[in-house]
Amino acid sequence: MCILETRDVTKSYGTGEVQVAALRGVTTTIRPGEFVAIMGPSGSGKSTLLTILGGVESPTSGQVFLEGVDMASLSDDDRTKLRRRRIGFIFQSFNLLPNLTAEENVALPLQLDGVNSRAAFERSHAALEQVEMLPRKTHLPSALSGGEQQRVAVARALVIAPALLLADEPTGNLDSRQAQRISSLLERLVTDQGQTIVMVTHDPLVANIAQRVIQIRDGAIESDGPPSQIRPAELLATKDK
Amino acid sequence: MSLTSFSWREMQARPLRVVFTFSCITLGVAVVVAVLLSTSTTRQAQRDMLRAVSGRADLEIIADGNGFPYAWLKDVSQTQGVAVAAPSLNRFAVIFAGETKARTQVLGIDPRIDMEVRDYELVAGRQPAKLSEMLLDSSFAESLHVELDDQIKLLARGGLEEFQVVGLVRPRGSAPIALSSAAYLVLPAAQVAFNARQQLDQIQLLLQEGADREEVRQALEAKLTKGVTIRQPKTQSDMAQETMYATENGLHLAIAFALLIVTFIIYNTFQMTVGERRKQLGILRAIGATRKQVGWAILKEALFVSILGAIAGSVLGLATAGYLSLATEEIFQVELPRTQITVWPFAIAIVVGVGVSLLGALLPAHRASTVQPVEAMRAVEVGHNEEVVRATRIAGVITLPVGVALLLASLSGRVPIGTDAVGIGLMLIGCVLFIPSILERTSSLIVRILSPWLGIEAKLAQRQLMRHVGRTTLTAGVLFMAISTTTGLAGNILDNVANIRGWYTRGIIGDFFVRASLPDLATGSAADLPPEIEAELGKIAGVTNIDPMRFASVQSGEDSILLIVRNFVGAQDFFDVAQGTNDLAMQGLRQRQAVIGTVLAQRKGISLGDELPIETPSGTVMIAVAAIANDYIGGGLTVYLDRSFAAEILGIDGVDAYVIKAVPSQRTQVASDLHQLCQDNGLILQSYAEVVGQIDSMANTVIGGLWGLLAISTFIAAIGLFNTLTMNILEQTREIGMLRVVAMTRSQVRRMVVAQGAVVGHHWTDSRYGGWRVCWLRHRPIVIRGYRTRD
Repeated sequence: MCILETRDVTKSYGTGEVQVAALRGVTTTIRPGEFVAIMGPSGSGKSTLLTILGGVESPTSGQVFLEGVDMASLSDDDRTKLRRRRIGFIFQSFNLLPNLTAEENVALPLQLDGVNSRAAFERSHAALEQVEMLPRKTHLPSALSGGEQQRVAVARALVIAPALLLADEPTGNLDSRQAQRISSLLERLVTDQGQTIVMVTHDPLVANIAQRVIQIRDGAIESDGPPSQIRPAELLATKDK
Repeated sequence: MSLTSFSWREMQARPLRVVFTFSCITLGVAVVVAVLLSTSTTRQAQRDMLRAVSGRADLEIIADGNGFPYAWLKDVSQTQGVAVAAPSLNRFAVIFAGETKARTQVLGIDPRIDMEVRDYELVAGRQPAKLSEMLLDSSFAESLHVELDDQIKLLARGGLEEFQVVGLVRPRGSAPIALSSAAYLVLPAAQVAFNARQQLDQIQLLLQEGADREEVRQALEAKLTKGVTIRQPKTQSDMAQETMYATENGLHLAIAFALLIVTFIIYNTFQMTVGERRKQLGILRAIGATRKQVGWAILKEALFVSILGAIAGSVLGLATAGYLSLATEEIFQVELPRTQITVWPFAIAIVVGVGVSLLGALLPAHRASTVQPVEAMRAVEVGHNEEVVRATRIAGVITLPVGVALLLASLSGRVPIGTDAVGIGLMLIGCVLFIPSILERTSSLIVRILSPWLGIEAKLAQRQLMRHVGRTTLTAGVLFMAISTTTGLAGNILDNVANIRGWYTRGIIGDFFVRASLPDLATGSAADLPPEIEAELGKIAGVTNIDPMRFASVQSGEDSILLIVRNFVGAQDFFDVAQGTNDLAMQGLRQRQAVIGTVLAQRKGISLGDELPIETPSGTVMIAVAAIANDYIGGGLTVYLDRSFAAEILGIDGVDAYVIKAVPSQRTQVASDLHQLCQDNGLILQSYAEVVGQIDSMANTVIGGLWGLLAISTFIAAIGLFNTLTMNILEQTREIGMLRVVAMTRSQVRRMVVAQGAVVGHHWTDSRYGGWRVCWLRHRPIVIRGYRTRD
């Protein structure tokens, strides 16, 4: 039983002679409650893989199943609806809407799905409580620190009770103290709530909290196993290769 | 609802842009409301006036020329199928109420039956029974401060006479009488007042139930063989309609261009808004907003601003309508009722305002809905310049020929002449669509010219602009449309003003003008002058020439046209001739020929040497056309005849105005004597300078409005440019920072931005060409069809 499965996924950009292959035949599965880190050098295709896992982009070929549904077979609208109900996103640059307060940012995915404002805000407050940001609920993103913004972004991802949480370099724009706090938060989500998380990261320390690390190089999976099987030198090598 | 907060906050974050969009919609809606209200008021006034005069009649018998015998009434009444035959004399006079003086349309009626055919009601008093009694229109009485039982004086051809107001009437319907104001006398009293004993001007007929209108008409024609026209009552006067048509056409053209520019601006603004928010829209898509939700969010913003703009525009339009009505009163020398406030102009304006806004926002909304969620995670290249160039070129290739085809069809008379405006509009849009294809070359040229002053900054500016061909095109397009349409309309109106000035310097030859009332420019009608005045004028020392003028309405086929009768003594270069020469015109007039206005010539398809049919008491007379001239009275539906010839064929006599020439050295004395004479007889005296001043004042009103138009379009164009440059700078923040790192000074950065403005702004030059093209093309239909408007 897996929550996510990819079968021979490829992704190319450009046309004709200037085609660039970002992914070449990626096949993997993610089980419920698993915390998976995807690592690899810049340009290896790890972020592209994440966008395809989240249904943000479609693969050039191959299939991606989320809870048994082939995302490539869905229309754009159906894929969007699936994404807003089952997948939470956390971005490196937080991507909060600058003109909405913390609570409004968090409530937005629910409101987009037709949940009434009152219920949406109740759930928004619960999610903010979970990331210890409730006292700052009425603040605009510009009034929050980077770490606080990322915690609000995590709350926004959690508010829909997603089957899968996708995080793209969630600590990439944070100082070490804030990065540690976010890492701990994600770890707690997996251990305490059984949340499934797939996270792209450069940071070996962050990757270390995952149960499984998939290493990608030149668009293909190079290795897949627990962090303990990957030597520290290799982990470090992925950072700036 | 889910994205409402998002949209609202985004709008709050860009208050200036919202205010700008709101202002544009407000102005556009205001123009629509003002023009619709003002024209509907004028038209309603016309309709009410004509309804009061023509009323409910099934048929009417109208005199060709100067009335027909009263004795015919009996024949008419006895005709099979006629139920009621209401006779009337219908002339103009001057009314004196205390210190107030006004022109009035006097109807001599039979009070016993008149209300059966005319659509008015008695609101106070009773019907006149004696020769010295009168009915007055209630709103006219109010404006004169006249009450029931007051005594007032009437100056008509029979001289100054006193009447008692015994009743007040009001036309049925929503509006009071306007354009002219009516006074009702018993028929014999009117016949005496106008020296028209035993004469009638009209008979209104009500037919028996089941009677065939055509059969009755034919029976009447068989009885009344000459001197009258028997027709179904017209709901509008041809001449008045023709005169208003030019103005209304211009105003409607202004509406069309204003809405076009508003659409362009809204499109431009929302394109920029979407461009600015791409990342945020990407985030929305990534967290679950569907394409539809994102597109709707943009459309809702447009809807919100447009509703506010439409409300504000309606209020502004209402105020402007008052000003337009005042201008109409000033230009056409008419008295209009209060602005008729009906729901329709507002409903139309709101629908149009909101519709135009949604139309302008439609493409940007579509563009927003196509933003990919992946844009939340990384920058995606979206500027497909080649596609923009190709798409706009294809659209231009379609639009331009359609515009040209419409214009050519209009020139050749295959479609109505007003269609040329649509053709020209499409041609301008077509030109805008070709901007992307030529942008690189033209901007390179400008950069080459600017290089000595702006150096490398100009080159950098051009590169930045070329990165966003669509945006640059839109800005240049707004600039092009705004300036070209304004200069085009301005050129057109200035040309017309110049034409009018040229016309009056030729046509108004005289040192002094004596009249009973100011003529109605729309219909040419004026109050009769008592005939003994001419003799008194002749007694004044220093007067060298007295030229009596007479305006009358005559029938030419189906058209009512304005006849202007003069002596044309000593006149040189009298006409603003479009076909023929002034010498030929004068010679022809003396030889029983006519000079006709260009509009009449066009309507009748008449050229130099052709004949114009005129209905006269002795039947249809064909009159050779000696010349065709530009004319601004009666909407150009005019025919000029020599006085003796007009008297012979139409029985036209009487005088509306005397044009007087004096010995130059004695003008002061002549003026003083004329002043005394006019004061004694309640007449109006105007010097040449006063007449010219009056016309100049009308022209200046128009020119003042033009400066306003130019100011608005310049403002719009400037804001468009500001928007684009701001967007470019926002996008270039990182690039500019990098340039500063590699030693670009602040002033160099400023120069680069100025250069961007200059490169986009060079389309100002194209715009002026475009504008003059608009102006020139607006004239072409007339030129091509053989009637030029000016030398």
